[in-house]
Amino acid sequence: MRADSDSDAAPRRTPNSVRAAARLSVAELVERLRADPEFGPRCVHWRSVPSRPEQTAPFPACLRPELAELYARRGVTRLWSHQAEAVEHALAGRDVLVTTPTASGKTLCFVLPVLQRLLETDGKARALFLYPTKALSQDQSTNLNGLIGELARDWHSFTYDGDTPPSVRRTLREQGHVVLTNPWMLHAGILPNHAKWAELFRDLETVVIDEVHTLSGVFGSSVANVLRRLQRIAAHYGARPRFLLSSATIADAQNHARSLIGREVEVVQRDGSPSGGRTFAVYNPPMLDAVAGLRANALEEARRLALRIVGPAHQSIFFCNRRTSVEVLTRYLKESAHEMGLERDEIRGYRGGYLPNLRREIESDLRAGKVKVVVTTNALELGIDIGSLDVAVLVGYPGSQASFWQRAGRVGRRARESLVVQVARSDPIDQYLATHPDWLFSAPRERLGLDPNNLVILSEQAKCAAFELPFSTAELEQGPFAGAPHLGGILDYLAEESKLLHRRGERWYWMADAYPAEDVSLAGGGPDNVLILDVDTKKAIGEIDREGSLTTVHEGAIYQVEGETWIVERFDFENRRAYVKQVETDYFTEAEVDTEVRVLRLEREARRLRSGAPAPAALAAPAALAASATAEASRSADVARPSAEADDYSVWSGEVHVTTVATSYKKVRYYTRESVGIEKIHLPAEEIDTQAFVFALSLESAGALGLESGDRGSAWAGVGKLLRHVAPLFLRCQPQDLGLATQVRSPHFSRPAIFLYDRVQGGVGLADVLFESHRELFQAALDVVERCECERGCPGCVGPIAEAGLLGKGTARTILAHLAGGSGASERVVS
Amino acid sequence: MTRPSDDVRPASASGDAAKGELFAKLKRLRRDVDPPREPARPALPAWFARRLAREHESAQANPTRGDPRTDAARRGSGADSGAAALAAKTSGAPRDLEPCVNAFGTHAVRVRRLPDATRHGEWRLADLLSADMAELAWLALDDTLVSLAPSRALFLDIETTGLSGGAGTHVYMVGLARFDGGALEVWQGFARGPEEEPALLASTAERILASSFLVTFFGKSFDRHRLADKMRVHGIAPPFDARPHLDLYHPLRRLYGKAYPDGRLATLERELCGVARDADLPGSFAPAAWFDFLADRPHRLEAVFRHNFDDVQSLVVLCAHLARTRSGSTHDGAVLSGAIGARCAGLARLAARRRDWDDALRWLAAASGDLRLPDDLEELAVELRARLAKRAATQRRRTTRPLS
Repeated sequence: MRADSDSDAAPRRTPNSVRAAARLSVAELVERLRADPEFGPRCVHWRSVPSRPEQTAPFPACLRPELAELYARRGVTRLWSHQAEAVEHALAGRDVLVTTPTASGKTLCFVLPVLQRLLETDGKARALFLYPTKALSQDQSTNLNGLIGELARDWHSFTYDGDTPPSVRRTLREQGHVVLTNPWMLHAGILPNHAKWAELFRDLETVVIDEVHTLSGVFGSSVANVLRRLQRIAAHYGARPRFLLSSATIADAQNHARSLIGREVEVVQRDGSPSGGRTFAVYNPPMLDAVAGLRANALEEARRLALRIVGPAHQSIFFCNRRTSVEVLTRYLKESAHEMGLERDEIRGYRGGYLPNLRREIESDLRAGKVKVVVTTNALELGIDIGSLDVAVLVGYPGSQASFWQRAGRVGRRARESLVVQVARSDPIDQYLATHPDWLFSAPRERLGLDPNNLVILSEQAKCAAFELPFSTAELEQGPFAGAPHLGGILDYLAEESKLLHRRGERWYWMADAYPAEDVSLAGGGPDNVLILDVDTKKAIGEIDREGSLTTVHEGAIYQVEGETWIVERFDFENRRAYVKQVETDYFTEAEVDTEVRVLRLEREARRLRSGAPAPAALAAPAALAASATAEASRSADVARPSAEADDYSVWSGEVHVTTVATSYKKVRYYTRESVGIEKIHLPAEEIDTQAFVFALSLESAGALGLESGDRGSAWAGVGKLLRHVAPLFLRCQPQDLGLATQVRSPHFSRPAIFLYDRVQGGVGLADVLFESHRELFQAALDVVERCECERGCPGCVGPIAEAGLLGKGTARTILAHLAGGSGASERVVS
Repeated sequence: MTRPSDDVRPASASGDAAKGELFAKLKRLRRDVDPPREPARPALPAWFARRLAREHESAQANPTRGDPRTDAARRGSGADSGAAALAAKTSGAPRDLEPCVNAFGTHAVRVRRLPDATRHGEWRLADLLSADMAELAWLALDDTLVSLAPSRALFLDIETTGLSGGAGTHVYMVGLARFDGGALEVWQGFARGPEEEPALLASTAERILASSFLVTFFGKSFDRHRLADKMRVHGIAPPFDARPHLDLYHPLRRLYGKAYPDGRLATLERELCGVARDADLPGSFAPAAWFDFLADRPHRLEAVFRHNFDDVQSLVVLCAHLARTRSGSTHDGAVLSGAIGARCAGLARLAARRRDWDDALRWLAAASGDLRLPDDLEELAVELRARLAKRAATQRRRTTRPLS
């Protein structure tokens, strides 16, 4: 309720035009924004997606009438077409992947077949639902129990997670017809104790996995193995469950599902749900300093934008990429509440780390329309039910197309007009999208890196699997682990070297007094992570992976969390502990790192010849490389040292050994960025063996492009940086997931080379995706440089002049133009 | 930045790398050459894991029979004599094993018969036969025990490859003792490899089904679940549901929990029944013995057999002792061993729990005669007074309300 004095004060504080905007409909807001003399021109792209009517289908004929009645009571008399399609596949016993957007009723696609089977088997058939977050599973449990309650059967669905009290776990194990859990509980709680879950496994008919696009990288590769273990245990009890999966829209969904569950699935992707008209705007903050390439801060711009598009007549959601930004923006908006015609309480923050009760409260207030503005992270990106909102502002590109659409999908569900504004930051990928908005709307192109057969992950998961049931030699040929490369060798290794298994005849048995799932993390690293401990409070304030520890928690480093600073007093490298003390500082630290990359083995190669040179005989060319007519590809195991004579450029994927040494660190003053001292770092080198995408320019081409002379080396480094930055366009990863090494004269290739390597020990498939997408990668990097408004390099393209050199931007552009210049004629070397 | 890389390995011609190469690669990638990681934590709540570990330590304690000679040796120079004897390892299969065949395969078994009159510590095995089951039921708060015959008890103790539970923990030895024709028959089933576990568990299930009830120490929390879990894995119906089970740990802890530094079997059998065991062995003893045996290394399985053999006998005499708790004397009329103050306080608590306030006060008075546990008694007395006051108040309300 608003105090009188406030309502009187508001008009005086705020220009009338803004006040008036607050009451407008979304369609009117859009018009106003377009016409706004300040903000209109900064919206560099507009796109309207017209509303789409629903496409419906009747309930499948084979469905039990009580289920149709159940939904009819909820006002659902017909299904949307994709729901009907998915349900029919599921009822026919097929594995299904539904890739329609958020809020297209995917849950029903799973629930109907599960209930149908429960009815048909009189409560015998069981189902397991896996959700990527705890909140989602609790949401669904309530929903399912409601439906089951109406069917008036003595069936139960339970959430089994870390919060489940031990006293009810037994009941749940024995009587849970539908068990909702998450990958971590399945991995460390359920599978190792499968005997306690024998009732579930014996009659396990359906496994539902929601939001499978979140299963990529180390986590996804680990979960794929957990699913192999699940199928193995189910088979032991005589069950072969069918899988029902859901995902955001991703490229190559079929392939992703196959990597994940080892089976072919039916992909259902034609969305039959209705949607209101949506308007998309891409907002690029004004350039403040063209030399430095500095744009106005995205968060600050989001705040200013809010005054024009937020109001009491509709609900808005702001997505930030970091938790701290959520807090800052929430505070900004609360302070401006009255200018937007809102009460402070109608604006809420929402992120991981809030207590569950608080989150439930905010969710229900959103559904009820009581909360008008919510500021959040990816915490609200997945399917938590908060009703449908009207305006979404994405502060910064969320890092993947899937996330972009998940976030955009939060608005415009009720067949109402809605608005999505993407606010660009200064970094290359945001700037790329500001100039290439079509990329967002085209078919998804980023692929998920997933490699269940990564040797480290596979061997760790094989330990867990062997604990659960002895491995037999027959399993190398058949069953969920069939065909996993080197599995027999891994099991022998675990027996002979690690002394964890014992081989007797045709079987490997777990033979150690330990519980391996406890020590095997799904997110990788696990026991190798460095714990950061506050020496005063003796509490852990954070954790960092092994690779990152060298540059962030070396002695003397300033460690920052949410704006607070700690100094590292001691780094116990052996025991993986960093001891820190809270301090007030006026500087932060930046570590200098030397990275050395050594090629171990090259696996795939593609090259382009300098025009005029004779083409060598084509080697076996994988289809993925067919993009360039002159590219030769080989997947040969013995690629000799490449001859550079006729080459223009070559790309490879292969195994590399990376040595990283942190050499020194700079103390840099906040704001002014002046250096106030340099100190040495004394830490052992960090070494990983991993997969890399390698790219080398022939000496002739390098010479022609002017890369040899002195200063240009930094331009080469700038090219590398750009490639790393734009990689997430084609690969679901963060730039920091990729390591970069640029060499102006590579000792291995004797010419300029760039290595982009997977920062995970053993690699999880990122290098192969880059190898296959390298032409698009070059083009995207070129586009960023060409469209960048800075004069000579900025953080938004090749990096500031201090790093890329005076000629850096120009040289980088020339090189990239040459590389991206695709077909025949343009392959002539231009200098 | 980059060192010359002349040592680039050419890719191997085929997909299957030599075993040595794969091993070297795995070692490198897994960083198995790194300093050893911290030991694995069991996936149990910390308190429960601690308790399990404590119990297991006791279960793994010295398997040497208590006899005056070793006692004397311990008092003298040879404090380590027991440990030294245990350090002796043997090679090959344990002796005196018979094969036992059932539908699930074969396992080994060693059977010994001990005449009823055999002493275990200060007690005779036969003392159990005259135990009053109603008394045990009262002490264990378990009325299902009342009508059973002590001679139909089955004493159970198992040895496993770990404490953590889960499918990867093997049950490799099951000690089962029962009275049979004037003797205690101690049946020790043994799996000579993990492949024999199903047969071992099938025999175990069969013997449990043939018994009338189980007696264990901490078995409701450990042994029973390890057995049931592994039985389910192998498709054997667990025989535990609806079978009475006296877990001595709980009543003994209620009675003597505060009297001794720990509630381990080794402590209780020594204090209550005069069973002497020597040097303690590390908790990893039982798993390591079997692992060594399977790997054809010299092993200490013989010590595990003896220890398990002693454990089931301790179950018999502790059970006999427990049944005499309220009488305060042995069958021969001697004063019952054990901390009398704690015992009386425990009995007072039990009586209070059954809302028998007069009995509770009586035991409290008896406990007051022993001044070794003033804190505990004070606490109990306060508690009882509070309960009595509450009861009085309730009665007052009941009697006054109709009048008002």
